[in-house]
Amino acid sequence: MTSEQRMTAGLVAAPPWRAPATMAGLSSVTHPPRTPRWPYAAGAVIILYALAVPIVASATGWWGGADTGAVDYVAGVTAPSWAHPFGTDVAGRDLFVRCARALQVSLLAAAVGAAVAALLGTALGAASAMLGGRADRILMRGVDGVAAVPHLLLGIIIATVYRGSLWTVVLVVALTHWTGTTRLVRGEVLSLRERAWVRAATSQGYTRRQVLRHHVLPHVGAQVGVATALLVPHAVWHETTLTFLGLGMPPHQASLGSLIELAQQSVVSGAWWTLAAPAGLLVAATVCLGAALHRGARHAV
Amino acid sequence: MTVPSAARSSSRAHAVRRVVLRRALWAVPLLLGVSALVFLLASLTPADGTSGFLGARGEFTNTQTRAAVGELLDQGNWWQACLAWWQGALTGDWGTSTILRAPVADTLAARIPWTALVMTAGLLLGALLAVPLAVAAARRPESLAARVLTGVAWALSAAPAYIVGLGLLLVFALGLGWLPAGGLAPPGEPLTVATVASHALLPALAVALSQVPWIALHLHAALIGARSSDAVLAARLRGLPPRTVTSRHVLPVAVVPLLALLGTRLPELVVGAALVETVFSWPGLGQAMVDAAVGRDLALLAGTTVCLTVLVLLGNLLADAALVLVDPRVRADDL
Repeated sequence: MTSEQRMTAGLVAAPPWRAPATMAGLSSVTHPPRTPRWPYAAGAVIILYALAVPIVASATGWWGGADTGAVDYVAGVTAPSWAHPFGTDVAGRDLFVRCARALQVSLLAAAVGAAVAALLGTALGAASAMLGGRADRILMRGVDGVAAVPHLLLGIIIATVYRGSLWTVVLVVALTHWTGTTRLVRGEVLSLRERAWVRAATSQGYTRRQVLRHHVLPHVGAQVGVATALLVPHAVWHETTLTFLGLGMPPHQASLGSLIELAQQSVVSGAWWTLAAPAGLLVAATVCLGAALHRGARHAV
Repeated sequence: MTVPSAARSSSRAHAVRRVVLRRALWAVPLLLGVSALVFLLASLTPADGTSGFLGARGEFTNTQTRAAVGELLDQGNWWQACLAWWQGALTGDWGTSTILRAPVADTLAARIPWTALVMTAGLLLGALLAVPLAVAAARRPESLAARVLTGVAWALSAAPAYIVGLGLLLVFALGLGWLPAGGLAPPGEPLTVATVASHALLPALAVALSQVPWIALHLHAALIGARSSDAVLAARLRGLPPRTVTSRHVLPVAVVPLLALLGTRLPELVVGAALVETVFSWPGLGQAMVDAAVGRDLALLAGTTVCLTVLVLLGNLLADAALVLVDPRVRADDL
């Protein structure tokens, strides 16, 4: 029994930032049924912070302005104050604005990675189900193999070769997370293939590709969309981890991972806020967005 | 329950043997695949492969290491290089690490025990922390304390292990100065049980805290489910004291799913070693792998990757074998 099967067997539930393979993973273990509406509000506040703060900073010049790349060592490592709500980092850059930029970049990388993983997974899952037979068996064995290797291990190997950009993170997320979508789509297509309207289309002489495109895939879309959205908080986690290890985003590019990596050095000299700001934001963003997406998905399905 | 216990236990042992055999067969293509991937990606390096693996600034100009890298890369195409590497690995020659300037086999042998130590200690510590918390929270699920506990566990579960590690470092090593910040022992001093234990405490605690949430949350849910089962109701009707009901009727049923879950969580735990070891400069396999990746050290990367995969597979196997032994409802073919 694989981990996905265990999770869908109702034996266990996926925690919020782990993307469940199917809707059955949305259990009430980590989300009591009477969860209040706070995830939506908190998620909205975090998104608003990421989007609005850099704009406000560039318009008003507050928090040292929007030029977060400017280095000013004289203003370096100052504790949180009214002028700099999250303090400044070792190069004198305001962390309130820089964290907002970092969250934007991390969310973007995570979302693109999740989308590419979903496309790859959908294509392979649909192909596997429609081809059937030996091709299906070989493909699904391959899926088992890739899923058996820990994501971080695979990510480190991939990032060894292609490192230092947003595309590294996208590539790593996509190449490690397509297996869940593949299993999901394959299962859905296998069951959809036997439905009356698909059989009717097949018997009318439509080609396999036409049937797939017009009669099968539209019905898989909603499930894949939900699974992809739930993957995003998890992918943020991957971005920060890879960048923290020095294999993801380049150090000058603000991302949650690169801020935490930089903080690793400042923290030793007592600058706790350089770690607390990005780390707190990372936890808050994954918890709130994860909870909001789970709640939204449960209501939608 | 008419099956004699001897027959039952022998069929259990048989089931365990089947699980072990199947996993061993599955491990061969998996290990081949993972190592092949390392070599395939290495051959796709955009820049010049040799210079990439010798260091960007040409710092590794030692003729011995240059020869070692050249030998590793000059095996024809990537799968021939991979097969040649396996040929060496099976005879004990794992190549030479360019960043550590030492044979990879020696490095691996020296580092595996440290990784195993910190992982085992972390997992045990995590279970020791999580089980009492979950039992206490499940006793009164509606109370404020139980809700705070679930909330904290939930937030903690979203904090990656390296953030937990950095936080512990900040508080206990730098702030309070109670425990050393990293390494195995103070520089220049010999390794003793006491120094290693004091240095291992913070990394193990970081591992433990990253494991506490899932153990506590799932055990909490399982306990609440088990408490309302018919068997527990009957036990309470018979007038058994609450402590006996918890320890004899509720916990055994609730712990079994955790064992199943442990198998799925072990990969994360083992590879999460890379994060905790990096934070605490703990000389384990994970740190070696990250160093190999950053320094583009092909031989060390291949060696650590294969070793970590073996550790993951072994951990999975142990968890599943334990599950088959403990829970008579689980059949070997399901795993």
